[in-house]
Amino acid sequence: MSGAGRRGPGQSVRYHVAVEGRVLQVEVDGGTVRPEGAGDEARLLDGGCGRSLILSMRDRPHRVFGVRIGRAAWEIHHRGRTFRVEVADERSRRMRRARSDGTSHAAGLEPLRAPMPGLVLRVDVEEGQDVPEGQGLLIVEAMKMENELRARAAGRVRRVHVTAGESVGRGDILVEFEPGGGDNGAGDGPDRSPGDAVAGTQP
Amino acid sequence: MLESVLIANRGEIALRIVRACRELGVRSIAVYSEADRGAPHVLAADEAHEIGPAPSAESYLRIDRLLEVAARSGARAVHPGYGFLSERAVFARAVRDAGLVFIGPKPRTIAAMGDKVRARRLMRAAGTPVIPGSPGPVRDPDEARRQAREIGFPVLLKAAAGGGGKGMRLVEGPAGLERALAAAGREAQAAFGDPAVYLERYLNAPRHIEVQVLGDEHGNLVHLGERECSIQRRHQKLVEESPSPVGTPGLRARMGEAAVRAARAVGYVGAGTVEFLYLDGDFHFLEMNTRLQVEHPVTELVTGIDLVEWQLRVAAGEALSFTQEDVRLDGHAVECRITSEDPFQGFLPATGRVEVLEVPLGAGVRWDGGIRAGFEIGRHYDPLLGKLVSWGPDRDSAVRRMARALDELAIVGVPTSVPFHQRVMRHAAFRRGDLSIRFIEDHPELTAGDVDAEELGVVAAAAALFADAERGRHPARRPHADGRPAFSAWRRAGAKWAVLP
Repeated sequence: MSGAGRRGPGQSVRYHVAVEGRVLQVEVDGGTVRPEGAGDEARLLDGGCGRSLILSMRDRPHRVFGVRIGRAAWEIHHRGRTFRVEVADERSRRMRRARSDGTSHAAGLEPLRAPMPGLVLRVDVEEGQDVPEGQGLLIVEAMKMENELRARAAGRVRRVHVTAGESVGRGDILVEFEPGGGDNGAGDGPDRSPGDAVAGTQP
Repeated sequence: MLESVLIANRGEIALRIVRACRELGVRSIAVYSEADRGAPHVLAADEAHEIGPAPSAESYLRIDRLLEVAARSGARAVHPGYGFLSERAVFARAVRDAGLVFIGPKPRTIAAMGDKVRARRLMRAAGTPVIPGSPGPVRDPDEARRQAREIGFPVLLKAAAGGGGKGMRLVEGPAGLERALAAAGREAQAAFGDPAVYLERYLNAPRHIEVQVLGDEHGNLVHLGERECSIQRRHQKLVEESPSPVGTPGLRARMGEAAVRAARAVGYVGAGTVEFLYLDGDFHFLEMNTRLQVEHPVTELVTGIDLVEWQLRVAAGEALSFTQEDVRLDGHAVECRITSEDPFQGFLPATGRVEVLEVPLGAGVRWDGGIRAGFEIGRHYDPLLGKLVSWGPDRDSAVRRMARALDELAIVGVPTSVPFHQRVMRHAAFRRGDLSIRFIEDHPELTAGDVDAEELGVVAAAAALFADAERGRHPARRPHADGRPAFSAWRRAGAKWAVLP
């Protein structure tokens, strides 16, 4: 962790870390890290060779692996579990906010993206259709299993980007949503959108 | 012993067979698809031959190409592993017709048991109890509805040609039947090349207990005790153990005899498994798998018998060197299937590159894996990355050992089923041995994905440190004290490495 180690005390940087549906503020001050609202102050024991580090929290050592998967996206691996994490510092966070103002994402309705590469077997919704929470949207075959992608919240289908028989890559946008529609209007909370699809046994 | 064996498979099982060959001094011949050029089974084998593009229909399922490689390489025998062509009678026959030894039972045995409908009839005739179901495949939704009404909902739709949960669907009532029938037929067609589906009564929360059998060409046939594989999701086994927590000597003898009787009824040679559903002291024949099972290591650890070695010995014409009385179960073994599936997102299959692989060692731990660091997990094959197996003098110690080993296993770069297994090993009902094939549905906390505050803090702290280091490494933001561009030192180091032999 050459970068962290090189700055002296008093030159701390604040990061916003989005993990498991929460955003935590984390202050990095040399080899000392303070996550707010979760855990305790941690100390960097060893930076390892880039993909792993060892930190100590409450005198307990933790080995954590990190793989960068996007501009600000990381896959963090801790004790067998993989977490998808977004990290932004103060400046890039302000810039991103300014950029995304006024887009459809402001309504909190994330599009449905392909969670894995595969083959679209069937599309069960049409544009303009209202979908209640749990509604099957489409079926993607991957690794010889059919996976039904269902809406995690209510919404209205604005655009369907794929048709049956089409191959899709991980992260491709499959369906876009707009507010309204569904059984109970805007779904069951501001942090959920129909695009946070879940795979389930089909049918 | 056989001079050489062509391994018509990939992944951990291909590597498992290569290892057995190496130990016996048998030349191992691997095959691989374009996607598997750098796969561990390729690196481990004595020789390896490319057989086609990544999709298995164009590579691992191409009988013509496999036989071509067998001829070119001078292979004397073919081991099919599990999955792929392992239970295709037509493949076993083609191998024999080419003058090679097929490491498995006779083609007509595979055909008899592969047709699940015919197998049920055979077993009923042999006096083995079977689950009530449709007498034959159902051809259309009307017939399915009629049969289902007779059997009584809920019913299971099963591929007549299948196994391993592919093409299988649970139907709670008449409403979902037609759609499920279509989906099961499609999946069966894709997995086995045969869309035929039959119906079976769905038993409420039975245990899945199976018996390993081993026979030779001289009429010897023994069973090697049972395995319990009740922890399943969508009929895919996730955790297996031997013996079963309910496996008393009396039950073992009864099930073992039923399994040997079933195997004898089809003239079984080699390693095979007779699967039963067990409920309230009764067991019903489910199916027979005429091949090596994924979970064979737990039997190996408690019996001390190397099943792959014996497959090769039997194929070479050797007689079993032990009798039923010699088979003793010692201690307890547990296996966790480590797959590239995210247990907290409905076991969504994931792809990606294995960036880091650290495998646990220490007393009583075995890893049968098919991956290495740097290996790309694609979407074309089964998501099984490897199997972690533990042994202990009793169930509790085997389970504790497994929990320890799971904590030490690090697979970075792709989400895996590891955190699910960690929860299972610590779960009170599992520790009690209170199992059924509904275990996962009955205990949703196993797949709930909650995180405690300390873990969240550790993850967030580490993520910030990684991002901070990345930011520090950026040349524009990290001027060196001596004024040289930040990347030159890295470059020099790279050049230094490059001239090393």
